[in-house]
Amino acid sequence: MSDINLNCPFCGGVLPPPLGSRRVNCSFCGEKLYFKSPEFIPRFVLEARESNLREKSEQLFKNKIINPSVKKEAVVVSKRVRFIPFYLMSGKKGGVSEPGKERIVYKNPSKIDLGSDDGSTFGKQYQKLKTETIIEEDSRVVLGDFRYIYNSVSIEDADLGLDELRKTINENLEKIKPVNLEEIAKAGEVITPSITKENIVERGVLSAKGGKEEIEILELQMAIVYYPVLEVTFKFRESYFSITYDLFEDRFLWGMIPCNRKPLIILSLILSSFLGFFFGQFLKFVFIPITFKTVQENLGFFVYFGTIIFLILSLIFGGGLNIAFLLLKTPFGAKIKTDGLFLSRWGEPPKSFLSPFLKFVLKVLKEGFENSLKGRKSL
Amino acid sequence: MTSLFAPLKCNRCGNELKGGKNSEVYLCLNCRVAFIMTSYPSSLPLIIIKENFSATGTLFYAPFYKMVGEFSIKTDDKKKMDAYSRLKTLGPLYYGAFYNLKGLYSDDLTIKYALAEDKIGESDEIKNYKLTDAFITPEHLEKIGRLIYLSYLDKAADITGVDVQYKLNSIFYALIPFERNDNYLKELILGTSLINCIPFQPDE
Repeated sequence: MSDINLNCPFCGGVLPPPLGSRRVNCSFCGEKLYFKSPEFIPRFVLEARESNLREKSEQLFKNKIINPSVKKEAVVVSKRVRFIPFYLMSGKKGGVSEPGKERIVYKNPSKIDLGSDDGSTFGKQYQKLKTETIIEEDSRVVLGDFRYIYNSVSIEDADLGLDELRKTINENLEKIKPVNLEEIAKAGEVITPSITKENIVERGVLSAKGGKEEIEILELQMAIVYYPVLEVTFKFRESYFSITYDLFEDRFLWGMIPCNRKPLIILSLILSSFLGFFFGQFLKFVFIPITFKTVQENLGFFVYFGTIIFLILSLIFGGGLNIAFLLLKTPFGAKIKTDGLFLSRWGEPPKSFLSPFLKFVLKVLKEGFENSLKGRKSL
Repeated sequence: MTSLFAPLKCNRCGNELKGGKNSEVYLCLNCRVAFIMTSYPSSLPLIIIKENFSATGTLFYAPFYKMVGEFSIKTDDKKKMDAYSRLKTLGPLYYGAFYNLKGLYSDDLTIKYALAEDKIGESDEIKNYKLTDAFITPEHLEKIGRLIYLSYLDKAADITGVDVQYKLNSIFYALIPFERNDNYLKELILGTSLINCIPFQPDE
């Protein structure tokens, strides 16, 4: 039988272990109590500040990367506040390390007589200085605090967004407030950490020691800091998109919005036109001369040479068409990051009908080169 | 059977104990006792340090452990021993019971206070009940005291091969007056300003 229990020392009522702060009130007799378990992890929150979401959204949708129809046609499906947990690890470390200090010393100078052609030795002697590296005594006393903030969950779309949030927590530690989970659960969804505390402790201890075994961890405390964000999910045509908004720093964090495809279409057209023009010019260059009589006599050479050029140009032209096709058909979106909007792919590109042709051309060229190399070697 | 819940009442006078939601230490200002809550009912005597400067900003008290102990040095190196003997003797060590993460000012303050023993007086009254949470337990104070002495001696001569022992005789929980201004903290015993120092977690 265990020696410990969760009874109120005043009335004996059995209480649940608190989640959030150590100080609690007994739910039976109302007396103030302190939860002294060493396993307890205090919880803190960075409180949401006044948000200018509407204003920021207006600005965001003015961006030319974003499909202008989104503003008119998108339907907001859900809006929910979420609290993203981060581990805050604080502690004290101390110890004495003896790294020593390297110093180069000159020892035992020896005179060397070089002699001379005319028998004079004046100025021909020099001292050869021997150098030696010695390690001098040098101990360093370490006594200080450390603090690390680690992710406790991984969020697929967040990219570097979580790093930004960690940075924000680090810069605003004086603003974190102790909180009970029940309190913040009323305001939104509290995400449960998926990375274990033990894993984080191990990493933190290694970082704090900095590879020095003689440094001891004197104090170690883990806490969880919740960061408030707003997740907005909307439907545009037949697809769903979501945007995550920072309720503390009042900024967009991550998410994907349908992009404006017009620039992509224009780019595809320019690319295809340019490559088409280039290909046409080549055909003119190759096939017009062979209509002349003198050239007809050398047809064999032109057929051979022309075929190789044709294959290369097919590759370029086909490649161009392929890029144009992929640009048109790949699902692109405007990706939100803390430092701006970026064009990004949000789905798999379709299989291009030109891909087999391009593969064939590449294969023919590769074989051609290999054969020609074999021929050279055999010579 | 022991409960994981400790009463937040003084076991001497029955008054409610004061402290932050997650503080490791709760205080009975009536009996001048600081309870180490994770090992309740173990406690330390509480002392309030008198300010030598009047506060222009918000006055609050930051928690420190006052360590009174003896230290001894052993070394065969006479030069080192001479260098150490020229150092001013340290008084009691005041070590922060909080995490001070930007610049480790608490360690600097520890030496400063230890060298200014005559400027540190005790007060009978606490002017303001705004306290800050203590996150450090007194468990490793003897080791910390030894390291403080070592770092002090290291300024005079390298401490390699020097055997330093520190024996802790008594510990007090000391509340040191600070003031908070817009962008800095100032301790009110020596008047040291702590710019860019992370403010302590305030009690509510």
